[in-house]
Amino acid sequence: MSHSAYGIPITWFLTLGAMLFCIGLFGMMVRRSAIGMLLSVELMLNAANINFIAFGSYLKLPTIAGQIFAIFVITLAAAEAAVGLAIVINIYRLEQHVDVDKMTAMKL
Amino acid sequence: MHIGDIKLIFPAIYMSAAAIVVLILGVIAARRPGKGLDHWLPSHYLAPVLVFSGLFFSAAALIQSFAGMGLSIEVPIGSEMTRAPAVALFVTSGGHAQLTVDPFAAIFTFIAFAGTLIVMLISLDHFGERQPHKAEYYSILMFATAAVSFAASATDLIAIYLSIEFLSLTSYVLAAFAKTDRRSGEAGLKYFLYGAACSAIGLYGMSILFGVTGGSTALTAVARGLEDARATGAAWVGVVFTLVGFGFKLALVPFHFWAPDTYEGAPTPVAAFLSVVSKAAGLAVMTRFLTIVAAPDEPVSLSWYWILVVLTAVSMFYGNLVAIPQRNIKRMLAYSSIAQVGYLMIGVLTAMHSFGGPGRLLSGFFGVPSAAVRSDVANLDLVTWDMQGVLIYTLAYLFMNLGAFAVVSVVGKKNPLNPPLANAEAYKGSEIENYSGLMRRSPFYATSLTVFLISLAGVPPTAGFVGKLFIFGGAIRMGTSYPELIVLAIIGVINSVISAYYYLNVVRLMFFAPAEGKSEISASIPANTAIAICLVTTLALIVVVKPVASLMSSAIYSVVPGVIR
Repeated sequence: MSHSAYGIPITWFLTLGAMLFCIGLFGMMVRRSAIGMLLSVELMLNAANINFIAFGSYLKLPTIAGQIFAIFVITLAAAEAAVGLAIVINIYRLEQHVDVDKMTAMKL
Repeated sequence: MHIGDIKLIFPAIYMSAAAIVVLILGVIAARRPGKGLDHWLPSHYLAPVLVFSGLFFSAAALIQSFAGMGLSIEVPIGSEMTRAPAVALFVTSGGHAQLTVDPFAAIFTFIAFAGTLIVMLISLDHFGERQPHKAEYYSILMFATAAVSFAASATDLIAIYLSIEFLSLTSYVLAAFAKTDRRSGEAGLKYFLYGAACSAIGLYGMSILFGVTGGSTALTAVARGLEDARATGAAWVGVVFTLVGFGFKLALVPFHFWAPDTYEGAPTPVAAFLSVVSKAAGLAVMTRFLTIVAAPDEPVSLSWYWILVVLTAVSMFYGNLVAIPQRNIKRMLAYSSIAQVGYLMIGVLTAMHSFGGPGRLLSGFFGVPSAAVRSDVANLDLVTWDMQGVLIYTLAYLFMNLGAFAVVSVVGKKNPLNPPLANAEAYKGSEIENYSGLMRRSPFYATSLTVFLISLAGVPPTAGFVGKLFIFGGAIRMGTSYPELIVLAIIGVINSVISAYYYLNVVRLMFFAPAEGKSEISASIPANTAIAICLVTTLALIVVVKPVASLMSSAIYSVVPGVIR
């Protein structure tokens, strides 16, 4: 894959994407607050967005499929945050906390 | 695309429009509950009627898709003409399509519509007429059904991601719908967090697939791009991560952690929806992705193929063994559904082998069908032990699992006519001990549940037996070339025996244990209708198996565009 007109190799973007993804995945595993986990998911989604846009612009495609995919993902991420926060707020009203480790209403 | 092609996705469009109508009318009616519009056109009756009429549209679309099968059309892209399947929508250059409404997709649409109708009948009884936010509930259910229909016909990574997310977002809301119930909120949150993480991993995989295949999003183009990129580790990561996203929808081990808590905490009709209709979408996408993109003969893809084989076996063992000690019947059904996904995955893997990867696909799609594909199709008898098993088992699973959940909903609902049993404090309504002596209290529900459970265990002459016959039969037939499928079929049979233990334990309690309460269990006409439909279908599938199987076998061949029957 060649350098772009801006002189930045695509691997930089892909590395940034991979790092963001790993940070998000790590946050997903260690965060116990539902809000923190929601933030981590956003990081993972944006890691994919960076990949899409980097590939879309470096591959010199006849279409803008990568950029379009990223726009769809941004829209969906907003919808997902709305639904997720609604669920979290409801949980907070019922339990006065959003710690997933303390949610043990159902256990064998 | 022509505007007339819209008729192919008309069921999904109709369902979305109907959902909007239900939502708007319901919001207006909610201002004066029980009077005016809410009295004359209540959404809990309007929604099932609309879904019922949607069944006819989806049947019409099924006929349409069979008529267009194997035909191709010339589509103008800019100044050029491109050849594409006649059932394709939103065609781009190279003949790739966003949506392909082939018989495979149409059958899944029909299954989703039928499943939603039954779920609505259960909901009607479970929540009653005074359910808060009932218009929102029914319209979200209908949106989710439309999403399943889109997912079944999606043949492009963008369409697949959008439809699966559409379905997920609606499902999260449904799982958390009982706003005052802590367990429902917890179910929704756990489902949401696992779902969001898995779909983000899946999306990251898709972004890698997009890159390594040279910027293609259509599955057929991804398959072609992977031919060159297959040797790279990046392609491997792309495929595996994408499969994580689908595996979550299916609740395949190890992406199943949400399933037990969500099924137990969510309202029972929602759990029924998640276990059947939502799972059908994951299954459709998984089947399409694997049959089009997979090439198990290649060394690198072999490694992820073996991961899938192992996960299929582990799903069956894990689901069945963990189901044994469960005390809550919804939780038991959740683990049993993890095991059922294992059986279904055997069917998916068999179907995947039937096309043998992209080499045969591409010669079929971009020219005349290859000799191998043609000989396969020529040998297709009306009823063969072939890979239509996944469709037949989905159909059987739909009715037997929904039936089981319908009885669980009726027995477990909080109803003044069903007073709490021995220990009012501990009573949750869906503990397995609540089913003691059910035969003496309500013979109809006890007998129905018995039929559904033995069908889930795969005892003849029920639908579950027919489905397993086709799944295992197809796997063994395909096993002459791929011995691991025979191993999976044997594991499946062993697991059917294990599962009989905990299914029959419930039956034993219902028939031979002393009754804890004396009161008869009552349910409204819709719930009884739902149970009766499921009962008749579970018992009658074996009678109509020949036409159903021939329909399914031609449908599964439509997954790969260009295969002409």
